[in-house]
Amino acid sequence: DRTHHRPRAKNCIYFFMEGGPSHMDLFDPKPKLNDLDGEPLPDSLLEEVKFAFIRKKSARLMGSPRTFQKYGQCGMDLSDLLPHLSTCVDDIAFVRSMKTDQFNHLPGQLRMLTGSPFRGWPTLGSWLNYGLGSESENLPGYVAMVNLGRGLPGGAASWSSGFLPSNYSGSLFRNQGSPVLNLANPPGVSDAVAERSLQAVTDMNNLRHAQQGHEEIASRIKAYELAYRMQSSAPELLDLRGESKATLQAYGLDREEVTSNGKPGGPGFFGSFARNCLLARRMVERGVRYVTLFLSTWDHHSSLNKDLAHNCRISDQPVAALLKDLKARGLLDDTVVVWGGEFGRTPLGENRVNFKTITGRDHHPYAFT
Amino acid sequence: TNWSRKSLIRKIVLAATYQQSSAVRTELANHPDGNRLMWRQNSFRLSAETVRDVHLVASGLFASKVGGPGIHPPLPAFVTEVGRSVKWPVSKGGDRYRRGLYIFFKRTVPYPMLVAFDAPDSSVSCSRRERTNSPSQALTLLNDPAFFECADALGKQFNGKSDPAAIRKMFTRCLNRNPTPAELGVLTKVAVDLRQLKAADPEQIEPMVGLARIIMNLDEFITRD
Repeated sequence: DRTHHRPRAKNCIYFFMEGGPSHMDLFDPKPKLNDLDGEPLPDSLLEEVKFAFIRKKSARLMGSPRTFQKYGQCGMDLSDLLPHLSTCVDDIAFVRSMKTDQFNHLPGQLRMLTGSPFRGWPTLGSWLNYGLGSESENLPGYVAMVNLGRGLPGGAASWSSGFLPSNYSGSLFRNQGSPVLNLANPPGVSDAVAERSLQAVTDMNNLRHAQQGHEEIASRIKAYELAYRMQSSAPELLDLRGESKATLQAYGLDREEVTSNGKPGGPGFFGSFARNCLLARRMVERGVRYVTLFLSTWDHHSSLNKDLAHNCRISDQPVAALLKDLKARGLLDDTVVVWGGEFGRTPLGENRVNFKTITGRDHHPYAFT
Repeated sequence: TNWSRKSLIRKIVLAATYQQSSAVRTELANHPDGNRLMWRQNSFRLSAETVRDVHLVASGLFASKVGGPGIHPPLPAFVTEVGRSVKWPVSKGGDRYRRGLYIFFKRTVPYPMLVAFDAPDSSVSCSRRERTNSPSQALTLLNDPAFFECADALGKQFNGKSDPAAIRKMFTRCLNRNPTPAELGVLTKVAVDLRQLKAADPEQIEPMVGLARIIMNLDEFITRD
């Protein structure tokens, strides 16, 4: 055994909070920031720094209105925006030493997801499946789910296999209807027709295999069989009737929505995100190696207080419910759950050229949680 | 060949070695050098764009217009929405039936079928494509509307005739050879079964459309032997 400890993790669930969540309003109490609210930063600090949008000369520090308390046995600091997560802190490792070298979204996201700020590299889920394979017989080993207030800068590159073979790329899953692209039969093709047709394809391929002897034919037969099994296992995955009422309530599937100028998402957004969290647990139970959920957007250049609170109302309860659910089922022992974005946000208020008032923060790669 | 690429290609494809069958010969199947000395032709799956093209040509839907701007075949909203500010203006009329080479490659929302069949992601140059074999390929060929449209178009050209002669004709159109008796037997039987299923439920597809879908899903249809 070449590792310095016995490897334990078997699955990963990655909550990618797109846009750069403001760490000083969520995780990092900064009393000095509040003391210095309205003050400029010294030139010595700002000289070499480039900001995405902030105009350095007139920028001022912006305090946070959040209240922080210590939670759990470990005494972890969290803001008032994450009441549900505050009950899980003893199971969480906060990495407060994050830094990155990218201050724009796409290269920053690629840096986090692939290690490189340039396109073309495999994402984390691809590497895990390439190295460890998948435990799931009937579901893909790498699943991506999205809750989009706005589209992702990287689009489908966010779950790309890069230079690894394409069967290691993430499969985009929707949480209702036909979850995976092309999973449903075309109109006029009933299950009976589909099954009979598949049987014919297999029989014909077998005859050809006997003639030609190519192993690729055998692989293709297997791929078709797996596709067929996926068609029946995906509905089973999405069918929540077996879940207890307590579980559905804990995740908040039907909790009351609070709209906030519809940002992000419209009606049903709260429920959809909660549903994806529950599905993540079900996928891990069924052997899916890597599940990633993208929630956009946390990119609060303006309306920070309002929109950050809105995001937390959407996500705090279901994420905490997932952690507790995994723990109760013994899955947390070998599932790594990651929560994070591509960078943090600036202590300076964002005073970009066309902003009349300063209500948000710019991108901050230098230090974040 | 006087440095002419055309004559070189000609010399290669007319050589007896090149024209060998790709069928495995049992006495050589375990040769230690594999097929390095070419005792058979290599068999490999077609590239992504060509997988689309063979379906279009066999179905008669193929639009042969050369040149001009790239095309945007239809895509569902949930696919195009993952990209920020992505616009995917669906091509009108015959343009959507042009060859795969002309499909607009949007890097944030690459055309799914191209990705499934190992088209490179275009961010770096690709010296050699993979040839994977995945369930998403199976699902694409079976259920993707663009491919089903081809099966539908091909099947409907047979005006409901599903006798062995019609089946042989469809088979030959797609695979450029006659079916063996065993193969014809399998296809004739499934045509009968599909006809029965349609009789029980008129909403079902025509047997010959079902047969087209089956033949176009054979490994051989997307393989260069």
